[in-house]
Amino acid sequence: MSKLFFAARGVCFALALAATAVAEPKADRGPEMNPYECLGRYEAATGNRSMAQVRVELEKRLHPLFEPDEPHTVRAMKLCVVAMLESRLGDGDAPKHYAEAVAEDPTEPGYELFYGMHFSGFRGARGPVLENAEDHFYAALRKIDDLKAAGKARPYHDVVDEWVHKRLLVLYQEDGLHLLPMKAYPQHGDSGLNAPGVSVSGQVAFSKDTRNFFRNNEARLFTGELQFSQSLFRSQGQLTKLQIFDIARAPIRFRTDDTLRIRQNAIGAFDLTFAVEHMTKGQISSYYQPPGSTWQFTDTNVQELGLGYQRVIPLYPLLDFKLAGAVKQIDRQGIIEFKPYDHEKFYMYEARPSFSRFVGPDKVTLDFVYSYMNVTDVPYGVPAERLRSKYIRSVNLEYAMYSPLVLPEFRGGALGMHRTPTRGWYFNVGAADDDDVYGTRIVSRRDYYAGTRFEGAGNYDFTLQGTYATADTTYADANDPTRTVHEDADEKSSLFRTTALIQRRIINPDAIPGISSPVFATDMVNLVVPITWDKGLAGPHDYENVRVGAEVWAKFFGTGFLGPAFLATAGYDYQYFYNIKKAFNEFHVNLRMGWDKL
Amino acid sequence: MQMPSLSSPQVLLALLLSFAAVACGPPNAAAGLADVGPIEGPFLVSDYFTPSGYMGDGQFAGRITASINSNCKERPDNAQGDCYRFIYKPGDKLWAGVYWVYPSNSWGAYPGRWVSGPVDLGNGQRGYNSVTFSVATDLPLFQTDPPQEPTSANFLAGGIDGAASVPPLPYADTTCLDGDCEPFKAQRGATLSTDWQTVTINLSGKPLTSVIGAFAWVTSYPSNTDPTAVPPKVIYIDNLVWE
Repeated sequence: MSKLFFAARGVCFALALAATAVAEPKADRGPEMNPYECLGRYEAATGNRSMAQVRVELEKRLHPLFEPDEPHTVRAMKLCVVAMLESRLGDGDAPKHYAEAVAEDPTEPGYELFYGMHFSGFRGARGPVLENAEDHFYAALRKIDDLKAAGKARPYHDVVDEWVHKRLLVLYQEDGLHLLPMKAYPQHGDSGLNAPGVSVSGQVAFSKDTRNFFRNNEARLFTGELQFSQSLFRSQGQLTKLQIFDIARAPIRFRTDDTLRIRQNAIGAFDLTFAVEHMTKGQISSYYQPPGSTWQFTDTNVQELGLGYQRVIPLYPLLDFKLAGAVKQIDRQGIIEFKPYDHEKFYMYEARPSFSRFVGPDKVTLDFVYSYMNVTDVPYGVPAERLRSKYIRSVNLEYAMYSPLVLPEFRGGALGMHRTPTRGWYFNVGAADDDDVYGTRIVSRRDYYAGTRFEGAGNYDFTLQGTYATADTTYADANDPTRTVHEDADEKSSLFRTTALIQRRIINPDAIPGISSPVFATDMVNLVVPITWDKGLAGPHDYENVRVGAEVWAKFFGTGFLGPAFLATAGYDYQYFYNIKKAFNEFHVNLRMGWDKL
Repeated sequence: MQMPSLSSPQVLLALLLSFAAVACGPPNAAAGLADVGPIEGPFLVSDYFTPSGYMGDGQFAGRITASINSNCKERPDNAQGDCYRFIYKPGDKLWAGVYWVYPSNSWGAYPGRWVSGPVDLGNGQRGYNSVTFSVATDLPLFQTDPPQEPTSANFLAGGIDGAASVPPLPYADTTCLDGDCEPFKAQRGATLSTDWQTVTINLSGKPLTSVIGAFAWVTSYPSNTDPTAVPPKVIYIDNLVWE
């Protein structure tokens, strides 16, 4: 949340200094004020201060808020500073004071910009409060047009104009390419506010990887396949070394996602989605394998056609609530054992509610995922054994600490403890449950995790997470009139995954408050080094592995062609399954124009 | 300013719905079991046993294609239960078959389904008279152009023996008379035509308390056959009853 202001510090100081030079009386409302003075005063009140000291600064400005007979423009400036401080401290009164600042100086677009930034940069659960932010960004553009028409626009209004457009680019970055001119870059006036936004987004992903595009736990997958094949149901007993070796695989994968989005400010966003996924020789078609032979891997194909909806519903001052849901029709081929050419057609239902709330300057976010796949039942056998379905459920709690921290730092050649603003120190815990129902047998995979991510003031971020991952199978026997559920001890496993991630920001998006290029504006380039280690705890340990890689993430805006956001990623990983002595060189590339969840 | 409490009705409702959704997981593994305990009297095999035991070439994907309740031949009068069509494309083994088993995919890893037959054999023991079913194929019995051997098949009831598996499995189809137990396996062969024929496997006099493999068909090609040069065999099964 503090990222925007933190990076923009240099710009705002310069603009604030310039403010005094252009202070001229506005008719009836007082002297003309440069809105960036608000940002400058905010920086002065928060720089190198603890949150308690910032609160003291806020209290000093609130009591009294105004001097007697103070002009409206000056009052607007003071209200803006108070609103920014409240925003930083997580106080629920920030929107009220932004609104009052706008009311005191209704022709000034800068206050609308900052008001919009409150919704796009501070507030929101897993995303900005887009609809509220839009209200104020478009109001800013309309006011800029009005000032220009009246011949009253100042040079700093060009900066406001650029910042508003940059904020709109970021606000719409998930939408992709806006097809209607009202919401497409560069927006003019407020015609885009209530106009429906029609946009298209797309993604192309290609990989040769042990993990699928949803980053499944491949060690658990391989262990589960090993155990199922060795189970009494498949009567394989102990697999041969070659068969165990060959289960670990990194097939070629390909996926495209396309979305047509229709968004209207008052209603929210509707998505029509289409996805195609292919995996070459990656699915085991039969878990019966006599000794001396090895696995027959077959291709899989998946098509998804879906309808989705999402909207942030601000319930402030209590919290922000984001609702996202989708219904998808899925056509899947290659998954059914023994029937690699059979198609399954079924519906998937998904809901992703998120909640967020400030706790002082920090922020708590609670995310839920519920996904149900009504997989096609098999058309034969005992009715109870025909059932097929899949459930995915997860909950994640994140605490984001935005307070400045006292950290060791070199200053003037000496190491000392200094109060350091950060981009956030995040702590998260969560659990995920993935259940496959095969008639009277249920395979359950569960993850329990805790992690932390430190986003430093400099150009480095660090992530460390531990995940305890389990797999269990339960079954029932129709002979048993008590309907007792049994656990299959032969298909039980657990492992611990340690994930470390180092990120170097080569081009920091927060350092580019405006638009860097009129045609193809680079906004972010990150170098990421991910490291994982899977250590078996229970069950076979054959697929323990270490994996280390390097990824480049780059974000661009097509400012020369309606402003879509592009996110390109490319990565290489080396993975070594040391117990079976098998190594993989893996790669993945991904190009997105607009994106939903990453 | 201090935040208000999280007691707003909208917030509470949204949070409660979210927790409720996440709590709404899969059914218990036993939830779908409508019929538990022993099978009493005659029964339709498709109601209790699953054709999941693919044998011979059938254990390799694509060698046997099964259609259940679709692509069936016009069904015999008063047919009951599921109807089946199997297409067997030969592979290296030149034989294949499918077992209807309980629980599905079991070769003796688990006990079979408990049964209590309609025939009183005395001493509290019960059994069945027979397994009856209808069977047919696509190929005329005497095809001369090109010349083709008629489709024949062997049909079994029982016959699963976990001890013969590698590694051994603990359960088998057995019949026990006055405490003396022996493997339970009944079978008969048939040559198939395009017309339905009713086949009966005799079970009389065999006390049964549980069954793993309720039914199976097995067919083969001559040992010198080039599997790439012969047409697949088609077998229709219908009206499969233990009585």
